[in-house]
Amino acid sequence: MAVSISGCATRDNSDFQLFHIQSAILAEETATTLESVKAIVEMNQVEAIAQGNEELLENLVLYRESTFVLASDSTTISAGLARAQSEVEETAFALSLYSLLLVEVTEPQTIAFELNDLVTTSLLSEAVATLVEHGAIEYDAKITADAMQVASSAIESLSEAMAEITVATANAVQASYADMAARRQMEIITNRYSTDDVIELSELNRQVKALLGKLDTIHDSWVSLPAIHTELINSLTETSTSLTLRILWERMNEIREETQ
Amino acid sequence: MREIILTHLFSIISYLRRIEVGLITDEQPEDAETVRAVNRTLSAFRDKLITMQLTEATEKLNNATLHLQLTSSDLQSYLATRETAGNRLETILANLPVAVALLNTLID
Repeated sequence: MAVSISGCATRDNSDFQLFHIQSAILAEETATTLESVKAIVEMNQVEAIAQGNEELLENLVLYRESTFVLASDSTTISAGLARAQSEVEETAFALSLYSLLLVEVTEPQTIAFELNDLVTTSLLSEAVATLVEHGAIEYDAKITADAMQVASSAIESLSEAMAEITVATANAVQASYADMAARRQMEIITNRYSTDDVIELSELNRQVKALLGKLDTIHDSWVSLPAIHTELINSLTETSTSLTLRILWERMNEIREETQ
Repeated sequence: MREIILTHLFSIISYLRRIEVGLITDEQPEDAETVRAVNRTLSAFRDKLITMQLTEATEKLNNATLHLQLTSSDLQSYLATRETAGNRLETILANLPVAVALLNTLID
């Protein structure tokens, strides 16, 4: 009789793969959204400069002296966004590397061997039990869980930092929108409410609303990332080596009964 | 705190803009100019706060990313160790039946 026990150590990797895909998509989407925000902030700058009208440059802070001694302006916001964007790309890389490694670490490990009638199965069972006792088969679940636990705090601060960036980005959008809307409103008044200007303003309004909505969704997704990671750690412990060994042990007993 | 200030700033700035537009419509350009000047300063302050927010969040993100990259490299070296251990285990398991058979013949 030849019995082969294979795939005993199979663990379900679909959650890890999902985590990898989702986090990669999220990071990419964030970078793309930051790109559109940067475009709006830059458009605000370019537009005001191109119009070259001191009247229309109001509220757009290119350089001004005030009681607050402020040097901050749309250019600085734009530069800050550019920096944030490159950090998000780095984050995407770090996250995808991490989750890819997790998938690999939790890869099904096939323990396959054959029993034949010459072998006294009880002896084989005992041999496996000895291996288990000495931890020879307990290869990775604990270490994977530990690695994930270590990464937990990084994931948490990542989520926190991304949540803050999306909030700051939403503020940058609002600031640029306010500047542009004020200019357009002024044009509407000076052009005696021309239809084109009104259409342009409502189009701008629509775009900004959509962008803010997207930022909100992205913000929530980043906030929920640590919870998904924790769930993953739990699922790993649930389907850990101990379960694998139990299945192995049960199979061994079945074989013993069959062959006795 | 900064969040609260920003929220107030946004509403004050838009409120002042409405007043400014009202003054222009009422043909009071000088008063409108005064309101505009105040709004300029407030907008500068608003932009300054947003820039601070962005800079701090970016720094935090930078640190977290670095941390995650370090964890990844630890995990990577663990993967290498695991592969070696896995190979060794497979060899043991593959040889087990033969070893048991040998033991059996000794007992017999």
